[in-house]
Amino acid sequence: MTRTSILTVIAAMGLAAASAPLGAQTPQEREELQDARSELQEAREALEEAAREVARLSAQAAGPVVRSFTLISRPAVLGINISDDEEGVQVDGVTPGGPADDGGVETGDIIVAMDGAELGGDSPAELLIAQMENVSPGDTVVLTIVRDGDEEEIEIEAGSSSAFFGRDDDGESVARRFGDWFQDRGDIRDRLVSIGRRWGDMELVELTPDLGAYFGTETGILVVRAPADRALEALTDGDVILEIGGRTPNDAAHALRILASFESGETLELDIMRNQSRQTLEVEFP
Amino acid sequence: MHPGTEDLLSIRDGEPVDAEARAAVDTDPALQAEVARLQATREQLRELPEFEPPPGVLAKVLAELETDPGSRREPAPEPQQSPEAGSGQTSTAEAASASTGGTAPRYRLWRHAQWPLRGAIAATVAVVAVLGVRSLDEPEGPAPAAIVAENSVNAVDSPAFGGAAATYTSLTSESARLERLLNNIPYRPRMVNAGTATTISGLEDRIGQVDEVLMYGSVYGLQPEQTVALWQERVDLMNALVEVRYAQAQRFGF
Repeated sequence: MTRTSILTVIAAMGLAAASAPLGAQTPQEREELQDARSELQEAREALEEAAREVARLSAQAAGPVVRSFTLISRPAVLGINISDDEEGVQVDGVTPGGPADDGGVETGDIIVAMDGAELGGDSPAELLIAQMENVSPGDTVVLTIVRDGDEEEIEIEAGSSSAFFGRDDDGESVARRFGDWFQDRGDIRDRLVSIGRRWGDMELVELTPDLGAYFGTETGILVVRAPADRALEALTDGDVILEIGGRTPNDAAHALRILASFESGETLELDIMRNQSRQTLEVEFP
Repeated sequence: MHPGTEDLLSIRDGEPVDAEARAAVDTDPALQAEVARLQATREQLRELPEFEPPPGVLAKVLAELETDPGSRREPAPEPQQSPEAGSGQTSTAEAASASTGGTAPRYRLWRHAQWPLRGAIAATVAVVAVLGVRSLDEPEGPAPAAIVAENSVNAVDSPAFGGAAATYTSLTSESARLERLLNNIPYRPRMVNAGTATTISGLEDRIGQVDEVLMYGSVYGLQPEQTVALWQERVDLMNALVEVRYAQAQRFGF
């Protein structure tokens, strides 16, 4: 059984690069270290490309089976998937990076109440879903959960559902085929992939107040390394991104998500701090 | 003695195994069925698309493997394999090396291996577990690599509902294990590379989409085969996410 992988190399090379003495002594050592780092970067890019390919292929595999499923969603989302349990609602999965994940919900938790209302009866999951009708994105939801026999309350800030298609004249949530929704979301992911490929060399860091003092702002996303791509040539190392198209990024990943919401050909305004002075850059999205 | 998953995988691969484990499999139809299932899984993995990293990486990977005894495992005798598989790969590579020299034959070795994408994912997740993102307390469970490999079976092909139910249980269990693994990866760095961050965002976005359908589908009539298909996709996505997050943590953690 072969147990080798790109990740093995990343691990090995990462360790090797890390264990190399700081400021390698000879030109040959420096060159070898540089080569190792270049190879490491190539390995990472290959791994990420493989991961994107997994996402594409797995979606293709599942798509035909669920395409015709009619989805009736709610405005807000908690980032969990659930099933009925004798004691309440069992959490079968927590979306990584989603609201419940941020709030500390774990797979295997049993939700026994939501905002104080007990979840019981024949289908506790149905009760929870019905309650979601009254939750809006940004609302705080209090889940009472049982974990390892102990009960505790967890507060979650509800996220926005990408599957909510609005309401009809009777105020009911609109149903839509999974396949259509999937196509829409696929377009956004395609743009994320496009950004990753085009500006993959860009490095960003969320500013802390202490660090921000050097840049003249308490918040923002510091551009540690601007992308080589000419479409973003107006952006330079050391710029701090304050707003993208009028939206304030919470962190570096959020900044990239905002960028992915623009379509090719659109012009976006980047509000930045440069040399402790606020400026607005106009960028045509490639 | 009750054979573990490693024993069953060794039997499947024709490798030496403890005599008691062998005897247990020979007399237990359930264990024989499990070996057959693992065999089928391997065949399906081999049919998956080939994955080829960039040229520079190939040479480096093989150089690393050939120079570091600790990272290489000598192939075990596999009498049923074709000459191009297993130990045959080495002779093929050596023959190519003799004719061309340099790194070119190593590329051929890689290509002959026809490393399937999901096989790569399974292997890399195994590495994640081995390299030590903190090990998890699962004394009864099979080895991490084995779990991943098992769940790479195309669950939608399960002919009977019973089979689908078993696959469903297996997939949810594996998904939970990957979530724990993900939670044990040290931290999300404040500094991010745009390429890595967009890959992670894309995977999380899709997992969220799958979760949303599973959540509402549990009430609004998602069929068993649809549920299993979505759980299979979730496991695939989680595997990929664990890999990328692990590599990201290494980048800033070492």
